[in-house]
Amino acid sequence: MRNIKTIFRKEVSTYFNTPIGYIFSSFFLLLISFLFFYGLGGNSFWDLKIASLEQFFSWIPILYIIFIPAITMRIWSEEEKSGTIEVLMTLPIRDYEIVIGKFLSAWMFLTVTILCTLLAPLTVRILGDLDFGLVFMGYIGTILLGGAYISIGLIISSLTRDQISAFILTLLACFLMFIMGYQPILKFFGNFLGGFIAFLSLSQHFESFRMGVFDPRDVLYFISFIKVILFLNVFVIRGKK
Amino acid sequence: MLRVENLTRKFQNKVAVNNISFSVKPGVITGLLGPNGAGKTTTMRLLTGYLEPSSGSIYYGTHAFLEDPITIQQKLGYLPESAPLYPEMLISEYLNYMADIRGVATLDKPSRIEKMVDICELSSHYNTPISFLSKGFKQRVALAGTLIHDPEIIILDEPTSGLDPNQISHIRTLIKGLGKEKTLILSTHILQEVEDICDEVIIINQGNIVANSSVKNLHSGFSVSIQVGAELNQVKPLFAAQPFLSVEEFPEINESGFKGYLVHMTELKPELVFATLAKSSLPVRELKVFKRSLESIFEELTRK
Repeated sequence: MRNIKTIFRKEVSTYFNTPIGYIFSSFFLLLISFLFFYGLGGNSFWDLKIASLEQFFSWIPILYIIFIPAITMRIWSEEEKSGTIEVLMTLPIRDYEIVIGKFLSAWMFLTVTILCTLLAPLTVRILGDLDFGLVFMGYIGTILLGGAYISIGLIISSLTRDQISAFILTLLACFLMFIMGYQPILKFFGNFLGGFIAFLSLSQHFESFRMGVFDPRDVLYFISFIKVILFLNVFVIRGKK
Repeated sequence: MLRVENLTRKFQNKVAVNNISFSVKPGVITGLLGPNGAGKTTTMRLLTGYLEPSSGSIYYGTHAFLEDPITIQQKLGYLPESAPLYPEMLISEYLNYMADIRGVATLDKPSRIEKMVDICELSSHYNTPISFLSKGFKQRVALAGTLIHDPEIIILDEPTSGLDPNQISHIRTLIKGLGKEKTLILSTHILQEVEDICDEVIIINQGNIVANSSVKNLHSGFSVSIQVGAELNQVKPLFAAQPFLSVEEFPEINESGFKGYLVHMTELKPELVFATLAKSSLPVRELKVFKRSLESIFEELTRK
């Protein structure tokens, strides 16, 4: 526990000590606010004139596809490249403690960024009658979905030696997870296969949160997904020995 | 005491370390020597748990390292080649992080950090990001991080690379001091360094140990060089029997009839060479124990 905390603290300070963390957060915040309020088509907040954040939460998975790889790309590959992995792996700590510490710090960074978007629901609240229960569920889903994407990014980062390939591969993986829950694609596969693919996809499970439904099965799905990927990550790390 | 038995490590089909066995006593500085790609770094990585061996075992005292590496890693300080560091951290942050993660007790932490800053001369840039530092400075920061928990076993991969001559002698003095009580292994390709600070030397070539002895013994060998006013066919019969092995000629020494020869023996007894020559009544100008330079030994052992 103590070791996880030390790794966590060190990793978090890396996000907040380097400009890259702030740059990506501001970029994300700017983009999500713009897309929500002005949009790219007729679905923007000002067009719909509905006091709801449904549109806001439908942009989140799309932005994650770019934002999450940017957070996770350096986590392992940078250690590998600079050689610090050799120090890290010979410290008196267990592999899973490093993996968990690194995961939690990235998740924490994402959560802080996401919490900065709370200004959007507050703005909507001032302008109309907003259902805060709905918003709350949306945020829970957003954070869980982010955790799942981060675990993917983390394991891909451990499989690559440089940040650029980690970024691109994670982007592809996140995109794949996203379109697996995308309706037109699922229709193409038909009811049975489509339903199966949808069950595996992350965005499908996010959907119920977006609608404000609390389904413990979806929470369980995200938690298990994260656990499995982190477990695999520990194996990848051990495999390198 | 560190004991390595039949350690082998393969990468795909390439054997990096081939069935090596050796032991290292505390209080003795052991130098790991070898040409580039000989397997020095791989050996060190195996000893520290960064890599796992394909076969063989490592014991620290009676403790089998591979069964529970964490216990040993708590007492281990390993400085990898090229001294990797986190460039975005300040020296102060890095030392604090290393102290925490290596399990230095909270009460001892300030004094340990202060001591390392003092020993490694880091105070002038204590609050500077590591990326701004010179190579020698970075090397010292990495060394400070390695020694912060006062490890019992110290493994240093080329600890003086990138340092200027003053820093080199400073670090060597530091290492010598540490070597008095700790189990210390260092790798280097600077032969001068081995002569200066190491007590024992292990020479590795192509994954095999080709020499493992004290630096002193490695030097001397069992040969005596002589200058005699006689031809090889006159000298050779004198040294035909035990403990003499053979006589070799030094073609470059030939002054007014006096020629240089090298007498190889099973053990070093120059007095026997003297007695034999005295009996033969050949004119002798010089007789001395032959000392080979470490360079020539190294070259000879790692030629293949």
